[in-house]
Amino acid sequence: MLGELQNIDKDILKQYIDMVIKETDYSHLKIDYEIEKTLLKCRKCGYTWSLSDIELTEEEREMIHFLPEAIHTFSKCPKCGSKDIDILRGRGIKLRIW
Amino acid sequence: MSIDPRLAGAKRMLGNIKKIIPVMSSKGGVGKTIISVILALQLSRQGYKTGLLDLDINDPNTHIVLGIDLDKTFPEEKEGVIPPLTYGIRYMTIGYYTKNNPTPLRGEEVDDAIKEILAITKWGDLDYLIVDTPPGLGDEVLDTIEYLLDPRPVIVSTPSPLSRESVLKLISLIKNEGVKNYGVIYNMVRKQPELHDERVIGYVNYDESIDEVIGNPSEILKTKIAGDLEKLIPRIIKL
Repeated sequence: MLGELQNIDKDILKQYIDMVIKETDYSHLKIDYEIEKTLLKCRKCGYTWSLSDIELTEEEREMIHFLPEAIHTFSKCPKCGSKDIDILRGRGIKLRIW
Repeated sequence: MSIDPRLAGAKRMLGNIKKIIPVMSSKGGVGKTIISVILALQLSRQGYKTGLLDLDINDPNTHIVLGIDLDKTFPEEKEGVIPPLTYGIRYMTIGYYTKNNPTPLRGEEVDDAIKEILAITKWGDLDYLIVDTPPGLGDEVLDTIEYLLDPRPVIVSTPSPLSRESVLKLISLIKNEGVKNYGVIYNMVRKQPELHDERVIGYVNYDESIDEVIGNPSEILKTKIAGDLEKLIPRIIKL
């Protein structure tokens, strides 16, 4: 599960993992890659919004790619303007094993 | 099962550092940041490979002491991010990504940001990593003890009873969490306090001239604070 805020290219990551895994005993494993869409919530007024609802410059996206918490720097609630926001979904990389 | 790979990544990134020295205090305004920067500068001048990490996630300001323009400095990305060499120090701060904007983070997000910074920062071989930490007894303190490998904290207090009482809580906490090697520096000392604590590394006298040289490392190293701290370095690196 690739958080949208992380802005990682799914295909490139898959390519690399396929390359590494084929040399190992785990080459039979099936790996699914899924982008988790961002969901932000204002702690002050409760409004929720996604990354596609706001405008970010390329430089800001780059900062957020390195450090997803930088979304707090470059975004605020589109409704009330507060910077006290929660990232509900869309940060980090998670690996789930079944 | 769910795995967070960042802590394993952090261990790898910190793996070639000989000693990690967090500069900590539960009390604010006791001079942690100034002491962190001076220690890093002096260790570097003494020929040690030195890094400086600003772990004050909400309000990083070591860059102000060093006089670094965050709009002009940015880490190179190469299998992680490489802290730029600044005044001989490998220097890393969240400020590269948040610039001088307010970045209000709450508990879990502070922890996330710290894990992220530790997992992406490629320090390489270092003799010493000095870590500036924010005040309090919250996430940053717990993460500093938990995620940094075998930390040897320098705890900063002023002689004020308020600061000393506060720092006793910090010491109790870090001891409880398994930190055995630490020492205390008393900063902003006007009159040497009577103390009977074997863990005292030493004293740094009050020096009001420091504010005039913030942003100018070569002048900072000429201050009385720097002079006092230099005498304490042999004890600090033995922690």
